[in-house]
Amino acid sequence: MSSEAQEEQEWSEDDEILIVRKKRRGHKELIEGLNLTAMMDMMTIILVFLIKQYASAPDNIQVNEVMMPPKSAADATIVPTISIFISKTDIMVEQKSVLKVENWKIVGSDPTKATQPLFEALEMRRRITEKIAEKGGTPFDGSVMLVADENTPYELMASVVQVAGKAGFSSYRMIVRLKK
Amino acid sequence: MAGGGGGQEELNLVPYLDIMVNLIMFLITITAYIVEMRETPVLAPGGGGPCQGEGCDDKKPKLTLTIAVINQGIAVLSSDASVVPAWQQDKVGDEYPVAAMQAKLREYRNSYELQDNVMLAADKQIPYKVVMQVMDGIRGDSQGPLFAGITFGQAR
Repeated sequence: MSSEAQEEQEWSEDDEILIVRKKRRGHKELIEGLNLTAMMDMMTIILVFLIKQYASAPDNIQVNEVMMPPKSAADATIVPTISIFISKTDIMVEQKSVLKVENWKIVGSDPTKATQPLFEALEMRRRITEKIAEKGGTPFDGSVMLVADENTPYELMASVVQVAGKAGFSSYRMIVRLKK
Repeated sequence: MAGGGGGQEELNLVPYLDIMVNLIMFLITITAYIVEMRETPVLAPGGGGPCQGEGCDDKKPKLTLTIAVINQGIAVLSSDASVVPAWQQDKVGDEYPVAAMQAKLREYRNSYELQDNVMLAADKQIPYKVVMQVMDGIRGDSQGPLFAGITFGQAR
């Protein structure tokens, strides 16, 4: 190879290196800020997934100081239905307070009619569910979900179950915290 | 010119991304604190009566057990005390003898013709958590299931 040809080849190699360097420099200039669009997409998908998962949980029952269900080894998953909550302060039907509780006793002037509001609320719920079933909705199976605080005395539990029975509910599902 | 639409400026996504990250962190954190809930069925009073309908031998009715959670401990009673003897054990401190009750129920289950449903009754002031503990014991032990149905009885 002649010296001229060799010099030409060296020049061309140097040019290539320069071109690559220029390209690299140019590329660096192009991506000044991070492209956040892909990250945004990912975040949005995760956020939607978490919100949907949290909102669709059927066993989304608030647990707090006045309402702490007992622990149990029961493993049946919760099927949502009409609910009765017995807490330290209230007895609620479908999240609406129907009776006040003080020292685990139903507050009321006449003890014989103390559970009447509970009976009326449950009976109304049963009638509504039956009407919905007549119009082609989910059939009424007579079940009621009982969520009670772990310290609720048996007397109060039994009286609520008895009232529910009188109102036409024959199947009770006790809601418990899963024992791990 | 201010407010002109000449340049194609991109939206500043950084604050939006900050909100998203915070929301995701919040949701993941609260998911860890959500208490897992389950349900356990209880029969209506009257559901634990004599066996009726198909599959029941009318000539030889099965015996029904009643488990009473009392202030002193746990008692197991049957509908015929001459066949199935009554059993009672006192609690030790605040601990109810659930394991001893399970052993006795297993013995009765293996020895006598009993109904699958039992009646559960408790003293007025017995807390629900104790009742649930006993209910867990009635449903099964380490050897397998004991009694499938539990009927809530009147408070004593």
